[in-house]
Amino acid sequence: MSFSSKHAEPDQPRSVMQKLLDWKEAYPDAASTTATAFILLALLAIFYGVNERFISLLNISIILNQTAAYIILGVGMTLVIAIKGIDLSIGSIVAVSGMMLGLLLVNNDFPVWFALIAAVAAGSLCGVANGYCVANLRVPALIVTLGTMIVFRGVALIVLGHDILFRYPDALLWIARGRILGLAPSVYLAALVVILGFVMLNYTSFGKRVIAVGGNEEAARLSGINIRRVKFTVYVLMGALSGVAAIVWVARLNSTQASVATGIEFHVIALVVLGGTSLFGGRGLIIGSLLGALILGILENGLGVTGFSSFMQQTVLGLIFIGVVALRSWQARRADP
Amino acid sequence: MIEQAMIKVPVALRKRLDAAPDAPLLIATFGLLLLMILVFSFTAENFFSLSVLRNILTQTSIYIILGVGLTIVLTVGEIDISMGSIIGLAATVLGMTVITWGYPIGVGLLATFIVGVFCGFMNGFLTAVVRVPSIIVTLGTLTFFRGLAYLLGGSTVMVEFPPFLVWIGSGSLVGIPVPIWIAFIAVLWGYLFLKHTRIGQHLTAVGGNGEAARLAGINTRICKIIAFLIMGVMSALATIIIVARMDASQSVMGKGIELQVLAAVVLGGTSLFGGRGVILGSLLGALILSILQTGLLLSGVVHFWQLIAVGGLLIAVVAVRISREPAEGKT
Repeated sequence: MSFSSKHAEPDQPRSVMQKLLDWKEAYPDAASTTATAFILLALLAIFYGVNERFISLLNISIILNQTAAYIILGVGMTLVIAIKGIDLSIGSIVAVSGMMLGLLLVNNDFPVWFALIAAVAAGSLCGVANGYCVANLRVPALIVTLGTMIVFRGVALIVLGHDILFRYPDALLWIARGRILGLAPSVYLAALVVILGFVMLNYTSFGKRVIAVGGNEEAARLSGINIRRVKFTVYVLMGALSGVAAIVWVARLNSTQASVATGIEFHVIALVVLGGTSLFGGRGLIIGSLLGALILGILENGLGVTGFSSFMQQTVLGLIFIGVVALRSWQARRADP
Repeated sequence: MIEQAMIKVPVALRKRLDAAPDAPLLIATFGLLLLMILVFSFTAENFFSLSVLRNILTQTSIYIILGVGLTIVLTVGEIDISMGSIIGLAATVLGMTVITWGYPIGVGLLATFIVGVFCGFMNGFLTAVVRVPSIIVTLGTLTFFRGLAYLLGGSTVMVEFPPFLVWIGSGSLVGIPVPIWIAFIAVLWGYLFLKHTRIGQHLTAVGGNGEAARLAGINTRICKIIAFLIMGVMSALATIIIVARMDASQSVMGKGIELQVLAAVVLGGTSLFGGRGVILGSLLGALILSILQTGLLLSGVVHFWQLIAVGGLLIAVVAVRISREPAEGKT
């Protein structure tokens, strides 16, 4: 098909099918992203069928607000997985950044803008530690981030103990509780992160280098890419985005404690995988991860609204996750045996 | 340092070292363990007492048993992070059969092993036959098994198990607590299985180079399923000890245990990329982690600092190890 479309007469009108195929060639990720979108739509339809209130402006804005932190973390994790890495420490980084917010805004009276910068800086610093160990010391990412997951959580626990910091200034709470055109500012923040991530991964030379390093590290090195710098940068970005997610998280809950966001890393990896990004590197689907985060958010919210117990929710979440991933790997093997 | 020393050793010893390629690594890990014991014997009071040693070994037996299972799974080139949830599900089933339904303890133990085998088979089938990467499979079953445990058991705590089970947890044989015996047997079995049986050699071959192993006529799918089955059985064994030691069972049991076990196995020198499983290393790794935690506790270090020490040690040991073998594993 592609052969004939390339050699078609210039004045011969091309069929819709050919146009579609060209489009698919130009955007190879489109097919799996479309599949993820269908899963999302199917879930929406099911929950709407069970309870009509599910698709209301109010509930949708609630879901988006709840999902904003997942979306932001999902964009970072997509980059990390695209370079064939993994980051288990993001939950602990969120705790460290949240701790920073609490110390500056609750225990002291620093201006909010300063605290926001400090939170993102703290997250980036954690990312620097991860990036240094992975890129320069060449310790496998799974081990590094398993270790720093424990270390960063330890830092938050040493500083905060079992205290819960709350009563944040209104300017911070506005991020999750204010309304711009009916949606919380955190939703726009998440949208901005998705757009920046998408453009960076697909349309910049840095994005191309990320994909090259994840796809074939040796080939990337031989073609003159500074592998260490690419890996280091990606982990620092993941740290910075964890800081941003912490801001959204703290603003929504109006509280911080050392144990915040424990176990979140598994949810975020799950949503990236649901979105179609391969754990074997060399491929990153930012839009897919956005859809994966929405699927996760809709499942959690929808199972709650339709009256599943939280025990049941976990079982169903696990089953759907395994089912989707099994289906996808079966499809991939049929297409490319 | 070890390699320099090896040049000077007599040829006969050199030959023996070549026959046991894991020996330098094991010696280094053992040195770390000794160093740690030495340090804590100065900083912590009563560290050398028999009761402390017994306690450490009994506590660690759970991690040692799980470490044997995880070592075998890593050897075949896969990973299992669902073991904590298998423990939760198995503990719930054990509690329900024995306490809620009043079956004899034998039936309860059998049910525990059936749960372990079922969970292990599910992980193995999805990984080997459906061919989903094992980290994704076990990420999913981590949620799924825990969900099943919650569904079955809710948040009730089941207590007052029959005397036999309590004996497994707190009794002793020839002066040594039963959990230590079980861990000892698990390590011995794991070592012999991996090094001295044909299936064990096959598992190592599959983890080292799956395609080459397949072309040599090894059924790689069966090998992977066997590895996950062993992990399931070891989880069931660990469940029995956990429930027996606490004399209680609950669906949240074993939550987060996978990270500690993974850390112990990696400290012991087993490769995350398959093809190299060091059962004795995992034993030492589990002991290092326990001694570090107990030692810091007895030295009066706040619990939170222990976390930092554990994480830092893990990264440092692996970083040193990688810097010493620059030719391999450039990831």
